[in-house]
Amino acid sequence: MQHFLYQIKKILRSPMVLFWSISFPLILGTLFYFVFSNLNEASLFSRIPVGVVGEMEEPYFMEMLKGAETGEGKAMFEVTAYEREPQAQKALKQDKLEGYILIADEDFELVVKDSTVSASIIKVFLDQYKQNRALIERAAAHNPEKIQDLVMAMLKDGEVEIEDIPLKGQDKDPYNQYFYALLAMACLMAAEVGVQNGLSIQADLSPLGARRNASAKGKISQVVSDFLATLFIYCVLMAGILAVLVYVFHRDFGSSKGLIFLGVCAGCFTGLAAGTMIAVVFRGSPRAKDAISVAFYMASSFLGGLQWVKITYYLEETCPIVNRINPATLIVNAFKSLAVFGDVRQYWINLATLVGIGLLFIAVSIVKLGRTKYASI
Amino acid sequence: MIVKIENLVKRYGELVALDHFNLAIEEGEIFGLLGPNGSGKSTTINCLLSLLEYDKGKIEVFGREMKPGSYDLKKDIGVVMQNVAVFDELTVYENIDYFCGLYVKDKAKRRELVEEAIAFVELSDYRKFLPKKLSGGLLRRLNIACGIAHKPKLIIMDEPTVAVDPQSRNKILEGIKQLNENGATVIYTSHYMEEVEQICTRIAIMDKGKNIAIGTNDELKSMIDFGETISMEVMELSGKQVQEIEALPHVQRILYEAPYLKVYFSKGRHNLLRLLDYMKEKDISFWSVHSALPTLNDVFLEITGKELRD
Repeated sequence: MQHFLYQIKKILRSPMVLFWSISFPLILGTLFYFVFSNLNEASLFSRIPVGVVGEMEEPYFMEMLKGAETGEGKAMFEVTAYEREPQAQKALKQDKLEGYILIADEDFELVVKDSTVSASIIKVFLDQYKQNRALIERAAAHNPEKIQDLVMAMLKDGEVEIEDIPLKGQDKDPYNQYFYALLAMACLMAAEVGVQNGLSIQADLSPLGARRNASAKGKISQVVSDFLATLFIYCVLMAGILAVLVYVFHRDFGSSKGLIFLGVCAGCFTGLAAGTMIAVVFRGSPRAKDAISVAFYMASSFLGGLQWVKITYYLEETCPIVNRINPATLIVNAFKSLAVFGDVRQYWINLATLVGIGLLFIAVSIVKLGRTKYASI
Repeated sequence: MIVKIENLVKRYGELVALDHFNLAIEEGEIFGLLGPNGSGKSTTINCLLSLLEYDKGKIEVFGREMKPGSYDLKKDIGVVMQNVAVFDELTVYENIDYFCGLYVKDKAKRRELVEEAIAFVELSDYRKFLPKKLSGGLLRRLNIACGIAHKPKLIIMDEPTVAVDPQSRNKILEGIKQLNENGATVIYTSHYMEEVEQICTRIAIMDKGKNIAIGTNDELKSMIDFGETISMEVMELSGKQVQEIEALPHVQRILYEAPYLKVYFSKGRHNLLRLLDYMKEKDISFWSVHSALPTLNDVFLEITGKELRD
């Protein structure tokens, strides 16, 4: 416990560590806040472009789609009818559509390019329509003026009653993805302190490392104490950053803030573990190891969509394994699963994978540290 | 036997840092490892602490083989590294408590030990200071306190007085003697022969990874033929007088560069009296007479042909 408390003191008295861990994510968050606030205002009025192929087979469907409105009374979809599917495909490729619905033999098929929020909204609508199809047809036949009310009721029902559909979560802000990526980066920045922890226990890299190796407390035990204390500090710091994002920048991460915080802690765990492994496994000077840790969390954050959200969609198509194992993507997807899609199961899968990767890093570090014999000091 | 090193060989690539090195240290000694920089002192210490892997040989501490995981042996060893190894973010008190905590779990006992260590190195006025606020000498004293706070049976000090002012150095040396009087066995490495002569009960002189001589201060000095050096200032000496001085009993050689005369004697008694009698007899005026007994540097010089400070 004494070791744990002193490690906490050491970190709290390292101004540079605190500066980078807190201020960098907050500065970036502030930039995002101002940039996306403006974009959000603009995007509130934009309708979702959706194509329909084979509309003649479902005469009410087109009417329903056009009648769908947002909470502010604006049309939800910008509907374009296509006679043939290749036309719709072309429009989709040219980013003129978020998706198109193919109607054939009373069956509906949704084709989307990316699994975006807009695509999910189209899917909700379509699923609801399919479920309520008989009711709609009957209503249209007897009370065509009620179709609009039916559409709104249907959409409302879709959000509150139906399980296992996308967008059950409260977060409908597509730009929150950038904030999720920002949180992921802030978590993974713990790798830098992980590197320092790893360096300070190696006899050939610092006098302190030599001194600690000569002591009566095992190397692994010291590493674990350092790790837990650092993780504790980072979790507290991240709680602060999360609070700023929610209460100062008014980001709506949904109602499961506890689970979001848990995800952040898991991210810090894996970031720290990665840093420790980098310090222990890679050969080179302390500065080189530091550089590797920075490259690690920057690359991971990039692939997780910090600079360009669509990279995760691109990777999903070209190299999905990256999205399954990249820590930043796992953190972002865990948050999205929870806050956007309300899919708690997927959240836990992402979290378990993330922690699993962290545990793997720790296992590698421990094995390597245990076997290391120093040829020179 | 507290420490036993047999046939220790350690290579750094082509360089043989320790060449079949042997050492045996008894309980209660202040054992000095003396040698120039690069002679293998620190390598010996690092091997002894199992920080370094070695190519060949056997190391025993407290009668048991020393390995990296020998934590039950390490708990009775105190280490003062050559480079100051303390945390910049922790105060004097916290640093000592931290390192003491690597050996002693009981909080109350640790508090007592830390207070004793602070008093021992006379850092009471600096207990809340961060290391960066301490002078070089105080920092070294902190380094020592961190190494000895848990009251180990064996204390290993690797050049603890490097870059320390004379006042702090004396305090450190006095402290080491006191630790020894309190029951600790001390291994002390240095390239300062005066320090080793001053505090060590037994000394091993190292050169090129080998133990070239071992014994007490007197034993080492008795290994050489050289007895004493008498120096004085003489206004003028003729060539004949120089030859006559050279012919006095036990004189090995003389150096004369007016007015400085240096006469090197082999072992023997009454060398000074004999030289002064000669000066009086020949009516040679002289002043500033100084007699110096052999030093460990002379021992090193005679065995290796080079100065210890080289």
